Amino acid sequence: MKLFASEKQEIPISDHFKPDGSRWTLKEKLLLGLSFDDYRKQLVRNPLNWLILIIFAIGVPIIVERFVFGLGSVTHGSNDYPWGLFLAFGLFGMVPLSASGFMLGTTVELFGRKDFHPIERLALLNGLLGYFFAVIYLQVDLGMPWRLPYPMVVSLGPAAVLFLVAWHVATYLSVQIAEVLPSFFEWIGWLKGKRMIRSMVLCLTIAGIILSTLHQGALGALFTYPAGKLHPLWMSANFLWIQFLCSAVFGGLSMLIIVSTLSKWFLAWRCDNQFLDSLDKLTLGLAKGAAFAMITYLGIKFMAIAHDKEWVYLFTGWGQYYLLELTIGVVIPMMLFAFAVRNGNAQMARVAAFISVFGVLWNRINTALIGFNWHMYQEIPHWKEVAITITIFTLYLATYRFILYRLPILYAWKGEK
Amino acid sequence: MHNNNHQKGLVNLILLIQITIAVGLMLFGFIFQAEWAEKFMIGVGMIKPMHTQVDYYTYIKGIEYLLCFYYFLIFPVFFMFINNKKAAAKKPVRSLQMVTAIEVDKIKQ
Amino acid sequence: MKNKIINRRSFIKGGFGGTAATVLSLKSARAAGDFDHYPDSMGVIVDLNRCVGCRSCEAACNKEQGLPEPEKPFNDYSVFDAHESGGHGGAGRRTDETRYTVVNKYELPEIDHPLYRKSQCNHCLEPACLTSCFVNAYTKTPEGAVIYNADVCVGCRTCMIACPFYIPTFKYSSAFSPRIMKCIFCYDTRLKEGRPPACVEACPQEALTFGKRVDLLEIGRKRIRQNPGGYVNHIYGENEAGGTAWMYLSPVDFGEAGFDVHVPHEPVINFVRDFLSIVPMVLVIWPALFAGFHLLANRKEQNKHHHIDGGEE
Ligand code: SF4
Ligand code: SF4
Ligand code: SF4
Repeated sequence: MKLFASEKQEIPISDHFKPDGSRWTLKEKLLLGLSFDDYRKQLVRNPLNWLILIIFAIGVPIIVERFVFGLGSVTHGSNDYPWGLFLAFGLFGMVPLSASGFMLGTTVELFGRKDFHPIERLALLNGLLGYFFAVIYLQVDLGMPWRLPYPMVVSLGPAAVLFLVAWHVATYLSVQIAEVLPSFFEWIGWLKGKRMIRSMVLCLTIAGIILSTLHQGALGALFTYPAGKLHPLWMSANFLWIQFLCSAVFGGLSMLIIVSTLSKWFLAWRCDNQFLDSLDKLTLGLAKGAAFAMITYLGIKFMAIAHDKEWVYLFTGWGQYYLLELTIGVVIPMMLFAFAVRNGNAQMARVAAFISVFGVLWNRINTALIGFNWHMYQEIPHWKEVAITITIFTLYLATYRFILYRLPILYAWKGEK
Repeated sequence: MHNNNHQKGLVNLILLIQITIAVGLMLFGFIFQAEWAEKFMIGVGMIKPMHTQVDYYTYIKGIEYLLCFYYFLIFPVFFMFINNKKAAAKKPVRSLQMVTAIEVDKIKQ
Repeated sequence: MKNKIINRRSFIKGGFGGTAATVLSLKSARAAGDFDHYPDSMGVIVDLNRCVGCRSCEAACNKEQGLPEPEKPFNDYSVFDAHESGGHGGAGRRTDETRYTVVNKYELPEIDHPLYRKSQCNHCLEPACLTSCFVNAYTKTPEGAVIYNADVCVGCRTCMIACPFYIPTFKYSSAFSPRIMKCIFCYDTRLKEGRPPACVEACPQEALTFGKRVDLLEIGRKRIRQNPGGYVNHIYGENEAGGTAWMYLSPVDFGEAGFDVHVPHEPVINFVRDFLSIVPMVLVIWPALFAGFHLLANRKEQNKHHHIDGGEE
């Protein structure tokens, strides 16, 4: 695609009209303004596509197997570890990394920081896709996926924490779709729809903050049910929800730094100058936010230990592992972020972002799989479970790329807005 | 023009008073007519003997979230009522004395 | 707390002429933490001293609940030695989709014969499975059973996460009609009519005693009192997880007989209560808080726009 973009000056498409004044058709927009042959050629030429194809070739049959022969055929079907990798990575890991949507929505729309505008749409899209695929992971994991709407319409269990997760993720997903729709409307040229959403933007943003606060927290609160099963260092009846919320803040911001970096590296042809020129500055802005969230997180992590008087556990093997998680996952990226901001070094902030996203994922897996049932044996996920997890993640990346290629996320639409 | 606005404001005020009275009456009814209110509440399942804490939570959480839902309906309306820039822009900021003075003037006329 | 409420109630009564009936029935709407737990509910007490590991209860349960034929017949005692993974601590068999109850063997140096322990759902007084289920699939019946409704279950398996005794199991083998599989105290076939469950009836040693939970506690205490050398002075399930309907007596420390002695004595919902009370606060406070932030931040914006004469969308 890079090649084509440098050859023909009318692509990438960023306007309703071709240079000669005629309108792009929807099909042409979908094919990125290439002829069908050219489009296929660029698909085949990209080695990444081959990798995706291989992963799908292995993973899709396994997914089919799961839906035909049941969960037991692709996982260990453990009754001791009812939640496996699908939820530990897919739900508990993807959701905090998708907090970017509400963070940037708040920054730009609520606090009026228009300077973050170039990256706002990317943040919203990152949020939407993250949630959407978290739901897909959930659907793979649920015993009866066709009953997904039951907690909302058939039988309500309002005292359950998962009840909140279900309601909030469902409503928040709709809010996020509404927030991303304007770019879609620009792209297909339906301005009325865009204006309609603009008029509700404050409402949507505040709804986003409320829902995010609660379901990020609720995901943490879910682990207060197995109060005696989860290792005391990770379990905290009073603090776990706010720890999850707080780590989602820097998780989401770091994820945004990563996707914007990747876009800059691999999709430069699609970005406009406003995005490329302001990216370093914005990255440092995000890094600052993440650093503050991280020091807060460290604070409440130790507060929680003090609150439950668990210092003695720190001197066991589990305690060392716990401190290792905090050092690698939080302290190191926090220092890197801090130095990056002080020295105006956006590269360093990017390195830190990669570490911190890893740290958040690691924390979720520690909570859901490793620290869980800590006085029991350790469950190692079935290879098919890993394969499905990777396949869905690949689908996520492919969808991400598909949308970034087309919609005005990384660039501003040149046509009427 | 000014008169028109004034009337609108009056209508709003009357509406607000009416709502307040209605809500007040409702609350009053609940306090004075405790027996009736209670029968009503038992009838709709708001009061029933609870034997376990888990059932109690299912019940109170249900009510709480229902109330929150109503709150979400009320809040935006309230917000828009207060934050109506157009309405506010048309009226200068007046002190209470000024408002009364205007009213008194009108009555005199 | 309770006093405060009642005082306020009587204030209302005195002040505004409510009737005595008002106060009486209002009293039944209690404050949290003050529940009578179905005073007449039933339970079972399991005496490890009496159990000989004959597996009759397993067989009876299998038949009563229509569970699939096991791999090894119920009179095959080699199952005690096969150390499958599962159970607390990793040794011994556990309940799964083919069995609602299992008996495990524990060889302990301090006593001359092996100990056997039957495990099944303990039918908690404040069930964790119930409170964690987002479709309310579980019900605690006045008779004491914790029953499950497969018609609404979504298969999220949170109840399995929440149960402190590792009891509910999932029918992983089924793709189209999976469900939770768990002991239901033989509710539909027996308990409803006041009859003891199948496993209790099948026990040849009277190791399982069925009765009202309050009476069972008495029986348990009496046995401990009469034979202080034969029992540890604790009834497992009296307070564990807020109290359970099925309880145990043991001659050795419960930890040695495979019980999880780390189970908190509070009901599981107590750990979640804090978060649950924060939810409505956030729902009610956040709108005005953030709308307020917006107005505060926006005023500046407006002034700026006046100066530079820029327009907003
Ligand atoms: S033992 Fe487990 S499954 Fe049984 S009632 Fe208690 S929490 Fe529920
Ligand atoms: S698996 Fe079924 S019964 Fe268990 S919590 Fe989920 S919906 Fe409820
Ligand atoms: S009470 Fe009934 S369902 Fe439960 S273990 Fe005994 S026989 Fe099985």
